[in-house]
Amino acid sequence: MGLFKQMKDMKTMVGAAPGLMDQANQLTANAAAMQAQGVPATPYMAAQEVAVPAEQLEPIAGVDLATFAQVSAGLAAYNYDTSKAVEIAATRGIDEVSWTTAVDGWNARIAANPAVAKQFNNHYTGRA
Amino acid sequence: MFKDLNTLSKQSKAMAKTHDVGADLASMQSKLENLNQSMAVVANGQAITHGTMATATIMSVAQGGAMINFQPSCTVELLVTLPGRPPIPVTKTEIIPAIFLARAQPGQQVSIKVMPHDLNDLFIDWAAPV
Repeated sequence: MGLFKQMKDMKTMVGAAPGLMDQANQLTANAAAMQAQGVPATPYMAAQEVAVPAEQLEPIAGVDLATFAQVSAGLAAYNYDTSKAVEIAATRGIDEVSWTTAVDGWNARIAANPAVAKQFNNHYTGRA
Repeated sequence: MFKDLNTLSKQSKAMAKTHDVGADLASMQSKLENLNQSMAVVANGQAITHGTMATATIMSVAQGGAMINFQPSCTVELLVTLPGRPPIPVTKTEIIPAIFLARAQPGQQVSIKVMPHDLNDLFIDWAAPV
């Protein structure tokens, strides 16, 4: 009795399979068509470019955000050895005291405002 | 029944023509390997127990294809800020618990624990307040 039921179920499954396969193939084709029109294959969200108040982009101890990011990015060549930051900063005419002040000041602004963080990231990664 | 088996066999062959099962399995294997590599750094590292507590700002989130226990694998770009040193971008692949997905938004800050000498050894503490 169980065998006949299994056979009937299998027949039902076989009957349904072509439709399922067609739908799956259509899904694949639709996804490919959407990707071709610029819809990303995987959902992606990036921080929005938001205007930052001018006073939050004022240089700190003479170090503007772009320079701060570029000196920071220079640390990658030294395996992020922070002690090298002063040397890198010096090549751009920034003394140690100014650099230390800039690090503390920009860190505070970056932590307080995601838009500043976004701009720093853009400069750091060269997307600015 | 033999006719049905024959039909199934034909359908399998038809599927094989339009669907590369081997490539799908290889892709799955690759995703799992990447995920395991990313998790192994933290699982075998010291950040969870000995890491410096800090904050990071989420720069971007991209959802990968993998789901573990119905929770998505995501690639998260962070800007890590540690006291006394400039911020550094770090990218992590994470299984983000469903209840914390709302926190995984660009611009949000998250609590982290990180080994200062190895920023890849970084644990995102989704549950901790910032």
